[in-house]
Amino acid sequence: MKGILSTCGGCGCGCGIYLYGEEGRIKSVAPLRIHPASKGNLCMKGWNIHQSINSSERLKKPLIKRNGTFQEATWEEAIDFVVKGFKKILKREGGKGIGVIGSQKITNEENYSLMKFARTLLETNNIDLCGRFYCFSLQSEPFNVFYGGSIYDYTDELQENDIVFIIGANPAEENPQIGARILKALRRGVKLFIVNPREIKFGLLSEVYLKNIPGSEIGVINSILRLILEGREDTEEKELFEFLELYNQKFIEELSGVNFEELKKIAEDLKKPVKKLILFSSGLVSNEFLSDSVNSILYIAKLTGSKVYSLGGQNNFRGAVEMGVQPGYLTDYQSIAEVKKKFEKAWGRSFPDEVGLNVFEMLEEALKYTLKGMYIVGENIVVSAPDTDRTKRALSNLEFLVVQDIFMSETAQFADVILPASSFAEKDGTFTNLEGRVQRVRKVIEPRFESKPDLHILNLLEVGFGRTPKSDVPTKIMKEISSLSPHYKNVSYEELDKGFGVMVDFPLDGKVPKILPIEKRYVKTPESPDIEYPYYLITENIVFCHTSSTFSKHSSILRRELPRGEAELNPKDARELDVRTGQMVKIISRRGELILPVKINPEILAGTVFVPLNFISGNSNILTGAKVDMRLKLAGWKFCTVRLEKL
Amino acid sequence: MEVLHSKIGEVIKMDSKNKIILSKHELITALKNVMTKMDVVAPVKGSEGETHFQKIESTEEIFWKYTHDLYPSKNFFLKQEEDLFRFSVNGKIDLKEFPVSQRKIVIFGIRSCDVKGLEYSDLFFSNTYKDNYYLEKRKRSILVSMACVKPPFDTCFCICTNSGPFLESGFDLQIVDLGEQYLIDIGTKKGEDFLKAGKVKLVNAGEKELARVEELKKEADVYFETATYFAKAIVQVTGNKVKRELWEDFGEACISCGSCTHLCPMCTCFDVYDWMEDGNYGVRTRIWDSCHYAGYTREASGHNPRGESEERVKRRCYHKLSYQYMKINNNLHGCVGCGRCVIACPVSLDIPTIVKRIRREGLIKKEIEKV
Amino acid sequence: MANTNIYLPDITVIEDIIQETSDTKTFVLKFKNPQVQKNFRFKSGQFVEVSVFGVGEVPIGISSNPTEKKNFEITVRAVGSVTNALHQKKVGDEIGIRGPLGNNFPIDEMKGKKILIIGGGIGLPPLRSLILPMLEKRRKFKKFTILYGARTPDDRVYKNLLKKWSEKKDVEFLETVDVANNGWTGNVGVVTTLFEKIEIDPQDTVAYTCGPPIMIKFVIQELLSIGLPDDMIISTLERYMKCGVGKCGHCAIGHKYVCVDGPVFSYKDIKTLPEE
Repeated sequence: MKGILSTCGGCGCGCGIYLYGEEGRIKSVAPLRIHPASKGNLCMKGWNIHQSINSSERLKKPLIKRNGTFQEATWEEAIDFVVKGFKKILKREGGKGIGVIGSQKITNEENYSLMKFARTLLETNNIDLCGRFYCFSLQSEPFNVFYGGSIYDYTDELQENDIVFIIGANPAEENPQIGARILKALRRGVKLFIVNPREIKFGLLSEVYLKNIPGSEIGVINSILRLILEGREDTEEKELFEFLELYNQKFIEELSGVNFEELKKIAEDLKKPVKKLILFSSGLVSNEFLSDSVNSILYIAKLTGSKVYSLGGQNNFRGAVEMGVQPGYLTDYQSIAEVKKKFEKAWGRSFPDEVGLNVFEMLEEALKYTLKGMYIVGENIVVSAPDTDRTKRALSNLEFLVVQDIFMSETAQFADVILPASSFAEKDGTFTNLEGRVQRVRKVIEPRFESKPDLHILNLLEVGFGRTPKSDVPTKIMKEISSLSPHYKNVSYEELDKGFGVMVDFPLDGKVPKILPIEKRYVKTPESPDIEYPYYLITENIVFCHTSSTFSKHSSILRRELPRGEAELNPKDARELDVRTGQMVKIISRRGELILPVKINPEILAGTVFVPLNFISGNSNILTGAKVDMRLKLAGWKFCTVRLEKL
Repeated sequence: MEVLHSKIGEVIKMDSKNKIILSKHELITALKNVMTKMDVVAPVKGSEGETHFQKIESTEEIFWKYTHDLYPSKNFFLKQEEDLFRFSVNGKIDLKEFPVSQRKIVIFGIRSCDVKGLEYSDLFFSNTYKDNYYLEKRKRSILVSMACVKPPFDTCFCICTNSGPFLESGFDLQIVDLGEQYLIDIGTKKGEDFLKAGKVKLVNAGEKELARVEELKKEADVYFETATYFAKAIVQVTGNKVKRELWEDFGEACISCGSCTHLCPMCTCFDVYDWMEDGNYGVRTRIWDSCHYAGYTREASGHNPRGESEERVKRRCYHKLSYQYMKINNNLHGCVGCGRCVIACPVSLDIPTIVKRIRREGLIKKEIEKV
Repeated sequence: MANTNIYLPDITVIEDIIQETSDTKTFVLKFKNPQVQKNFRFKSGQFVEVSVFGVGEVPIGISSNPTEKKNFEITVRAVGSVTNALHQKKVGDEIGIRGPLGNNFPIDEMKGKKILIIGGGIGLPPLRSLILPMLEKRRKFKKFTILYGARTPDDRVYKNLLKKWSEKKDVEFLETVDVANNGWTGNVGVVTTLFEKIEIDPQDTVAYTCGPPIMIKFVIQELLSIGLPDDMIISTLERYMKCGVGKCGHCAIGHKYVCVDGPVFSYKDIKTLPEE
């Protein structure tokens, strides 16, 4: 058996992985000793990722819904059905009646082709990622944060008294390779500061660990900013210090429940002339003050010379964003307004001017019956979007829904047509990991059953629309991408085969990091605990069940890790409710309810309930609400209060 | 547990009559001859310069200046994913085992540490109940090992665990590179079979060659010098005397990736699961498992005796360091010093580091130790 | 075991299904191959690996009398995917069996002693395979006491057998429930509360206990405080098991494998295991 080097499709770490194919299945996986990200390691997901690739529950044939049940169809029939369905909507209302969701798991070449297909043939700029709900691209507008260099190298270079500051993230579980490097850094004497309502790994080794009331991150961050600004001479900074007087000791302790003296320690250390790394993830992203929080962190980074990284996306979240799966941007964060002519010339086709709808807005419009059709690729939106009930209603309203995926999912149940796609082991392409390293994904086995790589499916659709695809293989497509995207200018398959990929994270002239004016936001959370719903709900990814848990559900080893899902409660709350570990409780929010066993966890903040974002038998989005980020109109969901009933 | 000594290969008494010399050219010719009758697995150079053991079609593929494969050789016998049998589910149940190849397989260039690991697995899979999936493959295999003079990786420490770099037994043939030619130790009848199939002219090693081997052994002692002294750690772990705080510290670091166990030649745990090919037929398959995964010991009721990460690290250390295990296994060391866990573990919870810290009873919280 | 392939089950046919409680059933099984059935000899306390092909395999203790040659019985509670799938089966359906596996309760060594059997909930089935043959040789033992505790009156297994035992003159039988319902006139409380109602001679008694881990813990504590020696307290250890033949590693405690060196352990043996 010969092992083929590919890139793991488990998370954004982008570890090198050898896959050994035999008789149409992946029989072994192995790590690569000299890989810059993984250095001879693979996490639990990486070691067992082949189980889901091999699973016989994969979608085998195209399915068309007739009379309420799915019936098998040929590819010809299915493609024809899809083309007819979209053409009907196009004729009646044009492209603005159609929405497209791209995938954070498919290759760059596929996302690019999907984006091109959506704009030029479906005539719509309504294309987005579900990642908008829980991860954040610092490289996007308006922030444009590019450092150059690898996060792994940076973390490895941290020395005694350097600082790592984690807010709203759990690196050891979301991105194990980064989590492990942080631990190693701690052993070298690096100091760790954490702000997170729930305990995370290495918390016991931290200098300061603040368990804040969920949603109060903006207050904590602005408070730290204010402390750093204190005593500075620059006029602008002095003014900002006074402007932020709201975030004084009394206010912040009441708002967030954290000890002000501890906060001061964080601010003091951040002022020191050492290396600093600030990491955040969905804990910070999924709330209404997302862009304000990130903005303030970047201001702190500017003042202190820190580097900031956003964690938590899936294996190709960064690549998907950089391939233009965004309503207002084409590849490489270039806005439609900036580069429309360049792309139209290269493509030989035109596409609409207006910025399209983002995923949140698409669901809104579907609820209002103004969005008629959707094409969802490699995403289980019913599970990954907040407020599950709302998502289901939105999808039910659609006239026409096409879902393209590797497994049957809760989203696919609503589809009119299901197209079976191939996994990352069955095609060639590239992924871009969270640090901006573009790496090769290599074909190891033939597409299983009658599935096709997403790229082939798009090619068939283009033919169905009467066009011959010009760039139809990954090498050609990457040439095109590279010619149109400044950061990708050095990426070619020849370069990718040398060494370990090509880095695309570097500052470009013309795109400088921007920080928006700091605003004083009304910080009381919109859904605060009250008599009816007295607990905050916290939801987070856990390592074995990443986001929509597609891979985890179909692996016997990963499925075993958290069979039922548990609701974690502080012992004080458990006593008040008179529940013990293992006892079933009903968790009720304004939007839905869940029944789960209790697990008493002394590390969790009193007054909060933790439910994993995703577990085998369900997900916590049944409870959460979707609220738009105030500033940049992104979606947030953390604000969810619940009550518990003993069963 | 009853221990039955495995009889994988009948051992030949070691003396100078069983050492022959061979030129490189002759060895290649021998391999070519062997390949007409048997499958040969040998070290091959990957695109990124790393060593991989895989089946070769021609001797040109052999990477003679190889180091070591991070992936353990146990995979040829205890496969990462192995189908056990096929079943039909509708109406009457029918069970069919999969056909087994009868072709012999030569693992050429296997390192001493992996040979030792297989010695342990041979005992494990044949005691009390015999695991034929593993044993059949071992019966058909011939281990032609290559002794290391210089450590392939700077993480090797086989000299501390009595598992190399030169072995006295466990191999079918052991090759020592003398520079201009090879000296081959014939260990078992299977080794003789290889030489027969290779049509090798047997020329006994002379005094000069034997002396050179002794020289190389002395050189190896210098190159392989490491400071992993197991004795105290074995005593402490067996007697359950290691401080609770130290296990807690290990548990705090461990991210439960499972790499240490998957890559360890001494680890053999697996999970078994059923899957359906279609409505009627299914397969029962086994896959490598790890005691480091939290769900490994979870019971149907939800109770998990090793729910905390520190308990799982403690379990693995017990398996590798406890004298109780050594007693059952012919006093074989629980670790072969291959150094794979040192390479793979991203938080330095490898056996040498754990042994060192148990010896020094060091806690990590504020200790800055350059390990 | 019959097979040379230790992982390959034999096929059995379900001859009868008895509903014991709302979630527990007893399955009467007979090997399809009469030769296999003829050669199937097990000892009290051993278990079999039960396969529902397509779903998985679970270890279940054999609950019938080893002297019965025509068939054997397992009593199964539906807790996970395999046991739930098993509960969907009907008489005449086929399932896979590998076994008998594990070690057994010591019987012959205990002749002449006073027998004390303490069972809790679903721990009674393996004890049944011990009690039935012992009662056939009742005179070999000086005294015979059975204590049984269940959560509620409806959760009691082998209700007819319990009635028989309570009526036997040469058996001291007491039972209790944690939570009573209307109509229950018997004892209420955990099984250790029954100890006050009997006399135990620490010099001459051997105690066998099986049930939920927490119950076993308290029962052993109680027996030790009465003064029973370590090797006269016989219990079962429970661990997640997969292969049942000491290879997959899941049930290992220290250097012992519950599926091969157990599941029956004396307290003396349990003490030697590393703290887990």
